[in-house]
Amino acid sequence: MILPWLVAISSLAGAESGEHVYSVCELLATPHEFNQRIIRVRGIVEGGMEGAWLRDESCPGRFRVGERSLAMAIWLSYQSEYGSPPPRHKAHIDQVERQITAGQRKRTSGLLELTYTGVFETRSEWKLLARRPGETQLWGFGHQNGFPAQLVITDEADPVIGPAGKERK
Amino acid sequence: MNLQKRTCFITTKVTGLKPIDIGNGAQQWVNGTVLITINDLRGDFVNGDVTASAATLLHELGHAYYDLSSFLGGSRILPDGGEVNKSQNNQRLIKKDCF
Repeated sequence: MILPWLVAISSLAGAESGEHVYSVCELLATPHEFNQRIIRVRGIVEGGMEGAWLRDESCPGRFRVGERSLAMAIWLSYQSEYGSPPPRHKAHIDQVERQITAGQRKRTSGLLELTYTGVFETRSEWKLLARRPGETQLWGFGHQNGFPAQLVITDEADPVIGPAGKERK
Repeated sequence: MNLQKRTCFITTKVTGLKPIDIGNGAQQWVNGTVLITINDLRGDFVNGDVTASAATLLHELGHAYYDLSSFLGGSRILPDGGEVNKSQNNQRLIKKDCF
């Protein structure tokens, strides 16, 4: 059933539909199990002027290591921290981005859900950054090192633009 | 470089830690290097003019100064990773005090 508030872009669906698609919550529950593996993950794309990340409404808290925490989200990047980035399907990504742009023109606001393929990267050992005397933070990924993992994107698919906030069921 | 009408997307992160001697043979890790990346992915920040682009660059340099001068007082540009509201507050501060 196609709900009327959805702008589904079905023509681009299922580029690699045979593989399991993880949720953000699944990956961040045991991130070390997926470190440097190529995976598919679906979530809500958020961000703004300083980057983009993938989150999941099913696990709204913080990612915790002991008493410290990072955002419960996966940073999105084309840059690997562990070597050369894998080749990406630029033509297909550009095609999906054009579809997203066209879909977003039809709505003044909304959440974008997307399935990404890429290399999942996390820390095998957590170190601390010194912010100020007495102020430390886990050395995470992405902007301001605020994320417990990042996905080095190779492809994206299945965009759906849905309602935001209270409109959302 | 023509920055006009260009969509920018800028992030700042610490990419290296280095040990410093804190006396009595002990060491502490401090931030060694900071990387500012422009336009890694698509972004929605600077759709405007050179002034907006300059504000963006100052914003990120503020993060870099905060990260590298942690024991010299830091910067009024506060950490905002994963928090859009804090990022917008930092940007407002730059625009208010620098232009």
